[in-house]
Amino acid sequence: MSQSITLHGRPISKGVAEGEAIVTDKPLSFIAAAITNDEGIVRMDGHPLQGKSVMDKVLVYDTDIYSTGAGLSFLTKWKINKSTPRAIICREMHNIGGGFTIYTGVPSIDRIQEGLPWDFISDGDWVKVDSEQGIIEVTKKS
Amino acid sequence: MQLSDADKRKLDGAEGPAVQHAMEHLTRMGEAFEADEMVDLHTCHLLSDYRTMGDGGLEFYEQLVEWGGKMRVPTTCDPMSMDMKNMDKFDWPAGYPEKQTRISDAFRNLGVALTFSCTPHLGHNVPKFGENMAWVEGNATGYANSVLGARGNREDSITAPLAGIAGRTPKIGLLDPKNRVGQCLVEIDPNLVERLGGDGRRAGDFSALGMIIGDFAYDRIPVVTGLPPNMETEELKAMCSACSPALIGTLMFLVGISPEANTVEEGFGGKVPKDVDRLWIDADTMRKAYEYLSNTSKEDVDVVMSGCPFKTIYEIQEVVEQLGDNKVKDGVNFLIHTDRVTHVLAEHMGLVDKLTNAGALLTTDTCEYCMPIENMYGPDTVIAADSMKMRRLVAGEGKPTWRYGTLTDCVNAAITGKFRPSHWN
Repeated sequence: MSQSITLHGRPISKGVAEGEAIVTDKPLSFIAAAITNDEGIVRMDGHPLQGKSVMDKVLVYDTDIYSTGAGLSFLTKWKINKSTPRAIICREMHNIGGGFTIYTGVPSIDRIQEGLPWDFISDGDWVKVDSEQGIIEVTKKS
Repeated sequence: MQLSDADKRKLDGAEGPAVQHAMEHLTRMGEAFEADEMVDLHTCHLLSDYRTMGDGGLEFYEQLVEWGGKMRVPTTCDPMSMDMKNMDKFDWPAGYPEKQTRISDAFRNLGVALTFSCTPHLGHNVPKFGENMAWVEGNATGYANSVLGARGNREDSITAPLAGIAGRTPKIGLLDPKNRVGQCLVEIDPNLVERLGGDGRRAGDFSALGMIIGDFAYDRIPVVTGLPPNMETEELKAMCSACSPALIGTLMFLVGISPEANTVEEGFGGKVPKDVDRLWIDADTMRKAYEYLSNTSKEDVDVVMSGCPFKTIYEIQEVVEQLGDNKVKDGVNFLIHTDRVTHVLAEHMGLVDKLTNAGALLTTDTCEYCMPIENMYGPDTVIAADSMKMRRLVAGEGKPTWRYGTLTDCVNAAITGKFRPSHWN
């Protein structure tokens, strides 16, 4: 039987979503030049997620780096390409990530009370984010 | 979050659908980030480039126009994806001119000044001390916070126009004076200071220095001491360009320069914490930064670029002086970036003719970051630059490779086709 963990955090963008986790402890940017709009593939130089897609995943990362253009790139990913993650968990949500998740309604959450999110969530885990309640349910990959 | 009666009226739709839409978003932002209240906005700066915003961004702006949105504060805009003055010099993808033109049309309707510049703080949007900003463009927001004492976060490109339409923004992050306190200390070796900057080296040196500070501070506010006396505007511009490709926030307390940090103690809100995290920067740190910023050792360059952030008129003069009577080598593209207003000035001063005669191109309103670079240069293209910001943002899978150096190194590379670093070796 798979192990389950419950985490608690600060809700940023309210909603409920679940999916497979993709995790990094590094910062990310959603500008089109850093994560492609069409397939959500990370192209940042030397980034641990380089070459991987964040589309339809529950994405865990540190905070938002690089361009302020990320918001409108994210909007295109969400509205036109449907290539955004299903939910986002950050160590500390930057107002850039807050802006684009709140505007699009993609659930987001930060400041996990139990510790750093990547200490509890790994690639392939099944994660349910309830940012109405500020609760994250993690089912570890068996 | 406490809303004023005027805020509530806007939220209820009394001032039309665009203002209502904006206030709904801003209220959610304020509640999520635990703001106590909203504050008046004084200035706004918007994202313009089609390559970054895509069709979702274009439709967003057009929707705001359809709802009758108007910017309530002085609003400028960032560079676009194309050089409309030099359309024949580049191979733009199909549909780009039409989409970029639609963005300009939307901006005219919203009441945005069509400056297409990443340096509004040096031109048509200069905030005063204590004023509240909603600006995209980290380098500009970094300068405005750190040098002018204006207040603003590295604003999201969705939230910025909505704040401009509402004329209000939630008091979060650097908009709240209580959050403007130093969190780490950066000290610069006096022996290094003597070697920093000067003709042909300002952008390269201070851009690299900004990266060192930003990488160390990351999401903290650094207090930086030991900077050279009487730093020039261009040097501060280069250093503040670290705000986003290195520093997560947009405030560096530059002791003796930042109006809120006349002393180190003042930067820390009165007293330097005993256990403060410190960084010492010396010539060796600079040498390593220059080395790290080149991600190829190839000498042969295809493109040379300078002007990120955009060149001031004095920096364009500097390029002309560095070129002297030399010509750009056949097969090398030497691109210098500035905005349309500075370009007109450069034309009037005869600088454009001199650059053109030498085989260089002074572009308008765009740069490698905004242009559809994947359609122009592949990973085999080697670009020499004196901008850390450009080097960091335009790198990665499928993108060009970079040599980093001073303007002198870059001009020499444009003339000879060979990049040979001369500084910090």
